[in-house]
Amino acid sequence: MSDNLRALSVRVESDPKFLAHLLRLYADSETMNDERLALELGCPIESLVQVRLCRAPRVSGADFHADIERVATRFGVRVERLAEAARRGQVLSNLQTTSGSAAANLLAARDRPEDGGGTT
Amino acid sequence: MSDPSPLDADAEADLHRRLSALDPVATAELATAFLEPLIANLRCYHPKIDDAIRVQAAADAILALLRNPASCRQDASLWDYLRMSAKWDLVNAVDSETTHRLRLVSFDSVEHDVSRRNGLREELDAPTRLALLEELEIADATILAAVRQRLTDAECLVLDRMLEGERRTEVFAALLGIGDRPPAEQRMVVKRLKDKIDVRLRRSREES
Repeated sequence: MSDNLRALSVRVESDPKFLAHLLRLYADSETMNDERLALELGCPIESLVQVRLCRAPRVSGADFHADIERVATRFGVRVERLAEAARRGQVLSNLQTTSGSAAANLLAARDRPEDGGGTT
Repeated sequence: MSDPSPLDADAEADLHRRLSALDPVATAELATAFLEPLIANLRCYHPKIDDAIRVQAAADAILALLRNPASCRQDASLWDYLRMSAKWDLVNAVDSETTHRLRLVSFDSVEHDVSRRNGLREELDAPTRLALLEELEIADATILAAVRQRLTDAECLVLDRMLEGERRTEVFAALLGIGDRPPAEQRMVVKRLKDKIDVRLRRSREES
């Protein structure tokens, strides 16, 4: 596995379109390094590069499982572990988005004049 | 110089179809198949440009396609599309470099006046810069032709495979007809040939 490909797989960790993004969130939540993540998924660390570069699975149930199975079969990953990691990654990603929106709403609310504080 | 796709036509068409159909593994397969050959292609045509810029341009081109597969028409070649896209990314990457970095890259061969060279980014539009890069392609093809003249047929085959991004010693050993020798000997012979090619490329560039 080339260093350039490895670097590319790390680069897409910030892009929700890639499985790398979900796996990064999952690994961070478990304070896992790459070696442990590969062990968890039951694949060699070299395969992890390619798994990361896969498209993120679709969210809905049947599509999600079809996508996860496709990735697991293609790259020799334990399907149930990958499903668990990807699902957790999706939840964490949604939480990030939601908390980002909540923070924005909070800031907007703080900028609003207090009740009765405005001119009438 | 030929620029064959790293995949045969059927495999490339299949990958393209699956990429468009959002097969989740197609993105990984495309990156794996094309990243290194694309970097090698840029290295071949633009040897004077900093390697980090070439890698970035190749990676940018691949990521753009992975994020938006529809950007490449279904009847077009992925490889041709990526080469063209990477070339433009290279122009853009060169644009974004500092004037200091510009001095290090390939404009030296076409523009000797330092003050003018410093202003290339501002003065030239993208097509003009691309034309400059194409001039360099011709120069580099000349250099490669000169190097080939000093190599045996088998060594030329090795050079071709290197330009395509091949790195495996056993492949080069097979091309050189020493595939049956001990691995250590294969590594030694292949390394010696790579060093020889490298020296000749550098000499030819210096002479050009």
